[in-house]
Amino acid sequence: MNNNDVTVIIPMHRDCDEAYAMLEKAIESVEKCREHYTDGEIDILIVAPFVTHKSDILAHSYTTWCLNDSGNNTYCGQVNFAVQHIDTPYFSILEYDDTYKEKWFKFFSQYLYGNEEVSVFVPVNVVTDKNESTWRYANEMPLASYFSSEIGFIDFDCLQDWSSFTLAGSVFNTNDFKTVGMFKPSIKLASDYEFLLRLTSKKLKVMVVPKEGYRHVIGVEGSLLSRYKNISDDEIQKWFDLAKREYMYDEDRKKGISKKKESIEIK
Amino acid sequence: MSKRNKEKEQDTNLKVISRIEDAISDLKNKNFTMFFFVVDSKNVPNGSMCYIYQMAKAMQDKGYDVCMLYQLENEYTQEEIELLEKNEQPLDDMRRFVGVTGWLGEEYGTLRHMNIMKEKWEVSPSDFLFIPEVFQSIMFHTYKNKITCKRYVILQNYDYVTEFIPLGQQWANYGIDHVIATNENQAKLINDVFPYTEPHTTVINPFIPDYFRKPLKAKNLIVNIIAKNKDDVNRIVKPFYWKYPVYQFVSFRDLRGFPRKKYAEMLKEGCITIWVDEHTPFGYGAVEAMRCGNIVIGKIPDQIPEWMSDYNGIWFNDINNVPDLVYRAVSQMLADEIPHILADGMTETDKKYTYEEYDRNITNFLDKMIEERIGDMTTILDITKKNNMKEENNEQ
Repeated sequence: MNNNDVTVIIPMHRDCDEAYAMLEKAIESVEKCREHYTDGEIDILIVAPFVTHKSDILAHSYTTWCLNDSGNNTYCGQVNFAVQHIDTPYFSILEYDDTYKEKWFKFFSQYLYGNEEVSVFVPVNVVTDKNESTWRYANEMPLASYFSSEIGFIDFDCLQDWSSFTLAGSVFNTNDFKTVGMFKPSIKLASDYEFLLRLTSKKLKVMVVPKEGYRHVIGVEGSLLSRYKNISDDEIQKWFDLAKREYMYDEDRKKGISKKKESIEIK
Repeated sequence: MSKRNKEKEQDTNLKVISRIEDAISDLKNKNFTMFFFVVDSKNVPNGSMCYIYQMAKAMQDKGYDVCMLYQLENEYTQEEIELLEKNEQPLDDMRRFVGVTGWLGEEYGTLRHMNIMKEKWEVSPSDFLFIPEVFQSIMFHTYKNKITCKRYVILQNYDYVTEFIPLGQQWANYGIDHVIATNENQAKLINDVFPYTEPHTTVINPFIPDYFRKPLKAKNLIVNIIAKNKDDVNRIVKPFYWKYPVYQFVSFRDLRGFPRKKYAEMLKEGCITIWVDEHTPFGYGAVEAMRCGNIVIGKIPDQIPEWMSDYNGIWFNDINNVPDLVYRAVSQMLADEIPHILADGMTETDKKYTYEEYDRNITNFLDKMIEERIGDMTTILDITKKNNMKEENNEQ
């Protein structure tokens, strides 16, 4: 195993042809990344609460299917489960309906040099609609000189005013991810934000690499976010407020939100 | 002629012969001084002064004595400065020579300096005086006062020659025909108007110091701006954000006024440099930015630098086009799609203006300069000796 081997974790929650078609594109994007990444190997670990019979998926090189039998089939639960089953120093999360830009891991390698202490390398995401008629960036704001105390880095202070980060596509230091307590599956919608608060509160570093690294398509039916399309703004805000209260705890205390003002415990 | 007058004349001739022989000996033994006239940059970075100080330092490093000359009336004495500092009173910058330490570094700032308005400036025939082209008055006064050392003009910007020299005058009127030019363009311009300088013109390209180099760490998405005029900065930055709000996260950084090494660090950190300097004859800012691995988006100067090509930068005439050019360059940086031809062009330019090449040129120049001066003096010595012998024979 090289120092900079990476496992790409792809959480799957749908067992249907449409999902497999998107998964195929996601895997192809990883294969293109391999052509440009010379600093180690890139393996793929698909994690799902079911076993697939799609031989063409399993036929891809360096690709393993991992059955998640933990009972926690949330996105965060799947990622946490997968991380327990990898041995590479770094991992990245690829949503099955998204793709990497082909040089993303090459960029990661370039920015890793001299920044070996960084725990998470976040790409600039290109967010488009299904038709690619409109697009915007995500995760780009820390590149502005006025945003945080060090250009290109997400720190605890800037997270007090800005919560719109997505960690899909990011490359994580596996050891740091485990040490801070991994994701908290009970925190819906704001799990990435809560994780960033927790990580940065411990003075660990998160860098936004100033390169397009990931392509996210919005409005895909059956995607993880589509479950929340009817959620109210008030409810969204409550999840983020919960994140701000829970980051101090390494373990998932399984707190939830209520439409009333006090928080209740989910058992 | 009376006997006394003849004796007096022979005595003078012998003194002249002795003086010339001493000067030749001094030249052979490196026992002479290189004087450079400078202006006080008041700690403001200045490409022209940088070239002169670098040349002086290079010569000092080769074992020659070097002295920087300046003119400052009513300069503070050291005692006056100490008294003001003791009483915590501000110093008037117009009364002191601030120099280059702050922006060029101590190794240049601590070269020997002399205020010729305050100290007695003694010059011998074996010395050399280097005068920037802008100092027409120094050329005139040193000629009028029959200064004995050899004078060279350092030509960096031909525009200053036409600007400062009075109508009807030229360098020949000041006895000047030896020139050091920073590039072939400048040499050609001066040789065209003063043809007598052509056999005595040496081109010594400047060097870009080693601290301008590509960084080891990957770069931030920062756009550096090198522009003399704050209005130019506004004309670039504000329209960029208006036209391309999706790129509101792109940081622009104005690099005016920083010390050289700090300036180099900031160039290294960025990935794109916008360069606006219409009147530069060389274009230091752009070459330094390329050395630091920046894509240069630059205004084509009035005098096109010799290193500038279609392939080593993105060049414009109209500053209103810059926001669009920056947008394209930023998009390419984010996607890592910089055209290879541009990267290759920058690499080619990067190989020029090294210290090694400069050192070779300075060494060759110095050898030639000293040899020529010895040759001139030997000729004068021979003539003087012959004249003296003739007179002795006539007397006999």
